[in-house]
Amino acid sequence: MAAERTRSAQMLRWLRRGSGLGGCLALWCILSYGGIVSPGFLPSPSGIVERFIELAENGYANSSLWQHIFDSVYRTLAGFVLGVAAGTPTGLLLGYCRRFDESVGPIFSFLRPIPPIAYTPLFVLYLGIGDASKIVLIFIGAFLYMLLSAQAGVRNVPEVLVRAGRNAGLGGAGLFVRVIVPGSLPGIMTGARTALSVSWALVVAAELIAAQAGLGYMVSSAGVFFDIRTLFVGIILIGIVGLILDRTILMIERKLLHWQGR
Amino acid sequence: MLMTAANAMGGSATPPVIDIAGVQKRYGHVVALADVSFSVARSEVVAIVGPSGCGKSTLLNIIAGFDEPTDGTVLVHGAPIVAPGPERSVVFQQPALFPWLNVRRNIVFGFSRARAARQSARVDEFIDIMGLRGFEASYPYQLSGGMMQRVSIARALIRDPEVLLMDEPFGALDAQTRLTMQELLHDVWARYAPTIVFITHDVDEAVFVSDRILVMSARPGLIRDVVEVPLKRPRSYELIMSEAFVDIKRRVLAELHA
Ligand SMILES: Nc1ncnc2c1ncn2[C@@H]1O[C@H](COP(=O)(O)OP(=O)(O)OP(=O)(O)O)[C@@H](O)[C@H]1O
Ligand SMILES: [Mg+2]
Repeated sequence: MAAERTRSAQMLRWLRRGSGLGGCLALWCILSYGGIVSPGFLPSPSGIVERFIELAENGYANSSLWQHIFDSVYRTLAGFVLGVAAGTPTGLLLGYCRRFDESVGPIFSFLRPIPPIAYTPLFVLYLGIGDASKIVLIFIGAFLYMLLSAQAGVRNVPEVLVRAGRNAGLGGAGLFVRVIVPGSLPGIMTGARTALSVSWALVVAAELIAAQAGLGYMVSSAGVFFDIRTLFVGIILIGIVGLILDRTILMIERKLLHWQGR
Repeated sequence: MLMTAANAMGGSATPPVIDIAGVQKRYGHVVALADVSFSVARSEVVAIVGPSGCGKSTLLNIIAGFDEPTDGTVLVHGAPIVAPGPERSVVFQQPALFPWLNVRRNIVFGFSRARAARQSARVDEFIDIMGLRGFEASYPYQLSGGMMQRVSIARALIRDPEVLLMDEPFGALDAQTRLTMQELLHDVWARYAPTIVFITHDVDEAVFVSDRILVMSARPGLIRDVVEVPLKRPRSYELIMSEAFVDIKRRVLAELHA
């Protein structure tokens, strides 16, 4: 009885979830197959699937479609991982060590309001239009974001836990490792999730500006050549990859923070 | 000089473990403690009762070394407090468990790996006494408020601290468990006689566990009166019906209402 009820409840939930997407798809079909909007403006679903298969078979601009996807993902993850690895400890120290914050903090207060995308032309000048300029750009974006989140994470460790740690005889490095770091983990993980989606947005934007491969490049070049179907395929792929990246980091967050009981 | 200090303590020859003189604590314009002086002898159990906001937790935090008084001196074993430490173990008013550690690891928090291994049988013993059997591997979010408080108490007791500072430790517990905990406190005291400062709202509890009760008043936070509790140990729960017990309780209540 109870199992049946939960199963039907689950089915209802899936139906509700599907109804929004299904509605959009239906509207799209009506608009394009009904001839209301010209295919040069809004391609039909089947047209996009056809174009996708073509791209998967023949590639785009001297690179396979997979290569374009791989390039964008590689740049994102390389910059993101480096940014997290450097930004998290720096932010933790900034939050924990007042003297460190006083001496180094102002540098970051100055850098913080500069949107990283503004550096793109500079890095292209320094490092060319290949991987390096994008990775450094994303590194900076992720680094600054993680720095902020880790610093805020330290501030959000409940005072009573710090006291409990000190009461157990911890101080300095011991308190940092056993109370401050794990206590900041929720803030760090929330930050990492946002930093990853920011990184993905940054890579696409940077590729739009200057690149010879990557999904952003594909979209921008398709736009130049009025290749509206490739443009749509590119945008949809950017969305799907972004979703996969987000789900992956969400899974890692759930694993690491299982003790939050969410 | 030494003799007069000892005389002021009521003739006892051992110097006080905790010695508080003229302590004041202000938070901006709020005077949390106005002028508090008292001392606690070795192995003495002192209870502090008083209305909410009269500065009980503030006082305990100062003894623990988390806060500094605005004025006055606080000595532990004759020396000023430098930092908090495990020899002055605190049970906080709200459960202060580390949410990323399970019950067992919370209890042995601060122990080295070797010490935790050596004490493992005692940890089991505490888990049984605290009624936490079956929850050793649970995380704080899986516990009720009272269970969390019992873990906090276990963590404070397992360190065998010289001084126990307890801030309404049994407040979140049901009447039955509360009784068990009060008896446990007596057991702990009988085993190695720690010095205990015990804050409570419950006058019965104060009389049952302590040798002396400090009655505080609010605004400004002051010690209004000190009531001695000359009841023999070991004490059992039948005691609370006795004439002597009720007498002491009446005096404390009268001070609280005055
Ligand atoms: N960090 C703080 N900043 C400002 N005021 C504080 C702070 N801590 C305590 N106070 C004030 O000091 C007074 C005493 O607080 P305290 O927590 O010691 O009361 P208490 O006797 O423990 O009360 P309760 O029985 O409700 O726990 C209160 O008026 C409170 O507002
Ligand atoms: Mg209090």
